[in-house]
Amino acid sequence: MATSGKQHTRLGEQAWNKMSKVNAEFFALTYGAMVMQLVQDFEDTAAVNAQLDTMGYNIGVRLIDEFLAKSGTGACADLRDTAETIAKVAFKMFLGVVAEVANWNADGTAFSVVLYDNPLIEFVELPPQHCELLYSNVLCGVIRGALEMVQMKVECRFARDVLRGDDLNEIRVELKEVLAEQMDDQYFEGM
Amino acid sequence: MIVCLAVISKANAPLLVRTYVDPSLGEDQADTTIRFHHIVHTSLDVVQEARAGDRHVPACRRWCAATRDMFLGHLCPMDEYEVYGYVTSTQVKILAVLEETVTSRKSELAALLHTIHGFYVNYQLNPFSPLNQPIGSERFKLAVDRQVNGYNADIG
Repeated sequence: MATSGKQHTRLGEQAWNKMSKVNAEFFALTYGAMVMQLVQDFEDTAAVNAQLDTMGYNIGVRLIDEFLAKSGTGACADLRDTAETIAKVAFKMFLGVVAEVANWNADGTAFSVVLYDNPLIEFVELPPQHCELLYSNVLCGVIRGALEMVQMKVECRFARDVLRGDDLNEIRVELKEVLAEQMDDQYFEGM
Repeated sequence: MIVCLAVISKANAPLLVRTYVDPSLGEDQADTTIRFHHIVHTSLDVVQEARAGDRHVPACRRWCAATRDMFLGHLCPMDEYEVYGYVTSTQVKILAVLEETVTSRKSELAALLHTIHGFYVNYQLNPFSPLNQPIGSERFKLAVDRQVNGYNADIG
């Protein structure tokens, strides 16, 4: 089912209208408090980034079911369809903002999700001693976790970040492999 | 025109002191800053007095007064300057030191301090901002400078 970009946008709007909302400041402050706690607990910025990614992963593997159940999107035909669905439907549904898909590589296995407006960073200004922190790294983890649940192993990283002085947020998504449907060990043990 | 703008914490520690004196007048930047630190510090007594005066007002009225008008108006003359104050409900003081070249326009000054209060609120919402410590945020400084310079340009 290949849907055009407009259809994705419409689906995103519909999903967004159905979702229960939470105050944006509350959301941003809660996330900020959580990141600050991580920064205090882990001295190393790289460890904080990894931790945020893991948290996102754990969110993503749960969120995908909710997304597929409530968004009304079917199975995606190809990676382009997947990319549009993430940017136009998923981001709209959960964060209330629409992202753009850009920068496809030649083989069509990697793309960027460009986020002009990131509600997580509304009040944030990174102090110089934390300039390596990927504040919104949780989003990378969410995408990675969610796609893994639909048999796509991807690598996700923040390529550009407004907090680090870039003009927009860019999440680079690279498809590593499509996992084959396979029986797990428990199945074979039962035989 | 405004020659100094200071944000003072609840415990009367300076969080930010910005000076807007023409460097071509030949005064050393460090000297200017210290001079205004002194002026601002001295004016804090007047702020305290102004707030102590509030105690005669019933608690409910005091709350109204605090929320509706945090602008204290003219506090005191100090050397060749005039000091104006603004106190938030959380006892953060914003003081403006003015050089009186023209008759001050109170409502515009109140609006300016109110805007700066807004910047301070946004600064506090940043999870990385330390509480009750000197303000290091470039964004906050820049926003304050822009507002004050805009005000100074308007007044002439």
